[in-house]
Amino acid sequence: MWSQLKNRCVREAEWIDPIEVADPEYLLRLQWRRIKRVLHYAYDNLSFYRERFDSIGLHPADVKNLDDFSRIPLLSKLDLIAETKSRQSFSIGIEAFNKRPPFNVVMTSGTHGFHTFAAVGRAELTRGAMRAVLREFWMQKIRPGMSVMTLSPAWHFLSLLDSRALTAIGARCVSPFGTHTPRFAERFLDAVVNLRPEYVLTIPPVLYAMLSVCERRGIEPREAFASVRYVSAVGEAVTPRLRQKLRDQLGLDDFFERGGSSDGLWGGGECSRHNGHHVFADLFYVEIVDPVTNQRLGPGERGTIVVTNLVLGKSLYIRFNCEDLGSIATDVCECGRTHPRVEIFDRLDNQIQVNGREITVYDIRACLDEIDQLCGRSFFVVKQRNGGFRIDVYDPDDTLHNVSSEARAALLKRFGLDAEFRGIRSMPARWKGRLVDERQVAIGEGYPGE
Amino acid sequence: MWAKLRRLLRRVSQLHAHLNNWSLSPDNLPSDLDSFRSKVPVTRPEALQTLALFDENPKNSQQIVKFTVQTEHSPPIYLGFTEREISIYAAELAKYWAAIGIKRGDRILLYDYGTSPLVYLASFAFTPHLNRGAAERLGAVAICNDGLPELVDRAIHVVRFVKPRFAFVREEVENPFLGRLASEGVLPDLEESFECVVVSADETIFLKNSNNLPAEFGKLQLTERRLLRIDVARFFALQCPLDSRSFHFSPDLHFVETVDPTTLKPLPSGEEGAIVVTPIFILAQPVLRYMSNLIGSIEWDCCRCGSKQPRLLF
Ligand SMILES: [Zn+2]
Ligand SMILES: [Zn+2]
Repeated sequence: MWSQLKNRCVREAEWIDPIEVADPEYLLRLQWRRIKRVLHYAYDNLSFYRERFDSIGLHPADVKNLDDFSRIPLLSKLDLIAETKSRQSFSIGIEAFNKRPPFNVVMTSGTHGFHTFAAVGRAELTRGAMRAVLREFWMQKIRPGMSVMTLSPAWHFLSLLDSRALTAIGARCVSPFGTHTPRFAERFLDAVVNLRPEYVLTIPPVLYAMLSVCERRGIEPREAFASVRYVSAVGEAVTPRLRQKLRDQLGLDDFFERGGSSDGLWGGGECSRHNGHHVFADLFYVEIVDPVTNQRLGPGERGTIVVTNLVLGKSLYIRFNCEDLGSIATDVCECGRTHPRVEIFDRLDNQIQVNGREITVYDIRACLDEIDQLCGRSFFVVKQRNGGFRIDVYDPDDTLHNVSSEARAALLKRFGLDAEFRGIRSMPARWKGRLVDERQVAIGEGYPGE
Repeated sequence: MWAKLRRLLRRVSQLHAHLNNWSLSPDNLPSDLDSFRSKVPVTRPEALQTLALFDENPKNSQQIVKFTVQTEHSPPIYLGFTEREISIYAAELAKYWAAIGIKRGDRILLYDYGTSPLVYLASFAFTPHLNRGAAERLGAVAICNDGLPELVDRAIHVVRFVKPRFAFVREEVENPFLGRLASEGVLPDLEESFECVVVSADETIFLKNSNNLPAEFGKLQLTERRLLRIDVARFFALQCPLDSRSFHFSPDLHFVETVDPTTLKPLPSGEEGAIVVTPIFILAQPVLRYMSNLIGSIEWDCCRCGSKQPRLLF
């Protein structure tokens, strides 16, 4: 069974790194070997981990199997922030470089109001996690000589890997001026129309903004994107319904999603089966844990994503709590790849409690996307002073009222959430489907973004 | 210079048939610099916007990476590079970095967009098909903050925790950045490390406020330099440390001249006019005699700062 799948995968993919279809048992053994190496390296060489492990009386030799490993306390973003502040330095003793200086320093996300830093060695960009992105790009149909539109905000870890992976594949790259905010959408659309890339790498809010530009200019998205066969979007989950809509609207062969986090320096992408992000097991070890008890959860259960880097030569994260909600699937994918697949739903703090049940903004998104007129429309979930919730929907042409009662009924039926809908004329610069506090909106802080 | 330029013209006339309009066919090339200047018309941005000129052409399919000129042009101007060209361009930037004093082990903050040459030439980590950026050439580490003015807090955050010796900032964010540096009191801890802020913008020199350092910096030896860019011509010039009106440039890879801005007639060396630049290392998408919107003169005499490089004087 497994070898049949493997053969098909190799056939369909034209080329594949043999490890992508390795025996799952072999992968587990490989992961375990690397976990041990990483633990020993961290204890022997990295002051941060040495102190941390000593303080809980842990020695790497005590970790005899994956169950032992899963009892190591989670590393949180707050731990990294505290260490950065106390050392007053980007370098906090997690940089696994054998004491050499870093090759590059990137900023991680600004969650908890503070950007921590991650250091990256040259090997990470030429071998390390670059290989994950290389496999991912190939899986997502980037081919040598293909013209790929890329917008690399050079402060982000992923864009460093993207640059090197595109080089390794031999893709031709076009890069419009600007950065990943909707304010540059005009230029991005110009580049799509003028330079006719076959592939677009982007983030969903920028793609939506490009669609708004099409609308403003009165051109059919299909026409503007005539040259584009594939779009791959990173950073935000796209619901199946919206993916289909975007494929149709843009006339794409496929629409892919990528995901991961600069906190923890990990990532993965969907294959054309769209059933989760393949996270390459030789490079990352991903666990899903209960957000409250931190107990490891099984395949299919929704919980917090915890990641451990399995290669050195960069800032090393061991059992890092990414504060993202996800689930893991360990069965072999239909594409033949044997590595686990992680479905990433939303940020942990981007969920609300309704009748004792946790629902995420992504869940609301999925429900609203079922309504044609709302599919893909930007919105915010506003937490009101009275404890209730309101949905603020981007509504430039004042058409929301046609569907707001249908939408309200849908949320009530699906989640027992009774939320008022309000149309807003313009979206703040840092827009993203997010949960925000009404007080923040009211005092004009705008919406927290990024 | 003429030998290099002639080689460029020969290759260009073979590769790009459209240049035949200027009677630049391989058997009818200018015979010397003077005839080049009189025979080849200057190139204005408008000419570069016509996609026929800059679009894919089977013969220049070796272009592997394309950037967009930042200035708002509609349609925009796209700059294509081969692997070799972008590498030479990065080596140029490295020369200016070295002239500022950047050396092995230095950390450099780049407060600019990843799609600005300040950043895309800085490191092989940032740009596809760039095998060695300016940072790798000097053994320095470049840290990018993106170029949005609202990210000034994050730039200060980098200064505080990464402690770069140099910052390159786009002109648009110069004032918020310097202002915040002074008001945040970040600098006292950085006296040892933070040396220089280099401000840069495409085809802009902004002499009026050429020293923007707020008074609050006090005794700190923070210097400010300007790096002039003419992105279409892949050209840099660095402000002289002693004379803020002078910008030194390396004459190896660019033919720089002035023309009368109205009649477009070539001017003799030393006479003030529009700065016109021909990059002689760009073949895939050649730019011959790009006329910038900068008005100045070219001085070849030895500068009082001691540099033997020629300078643009504004
Ligand atoms: Zn798959
Ligand atoms: Zn001088």
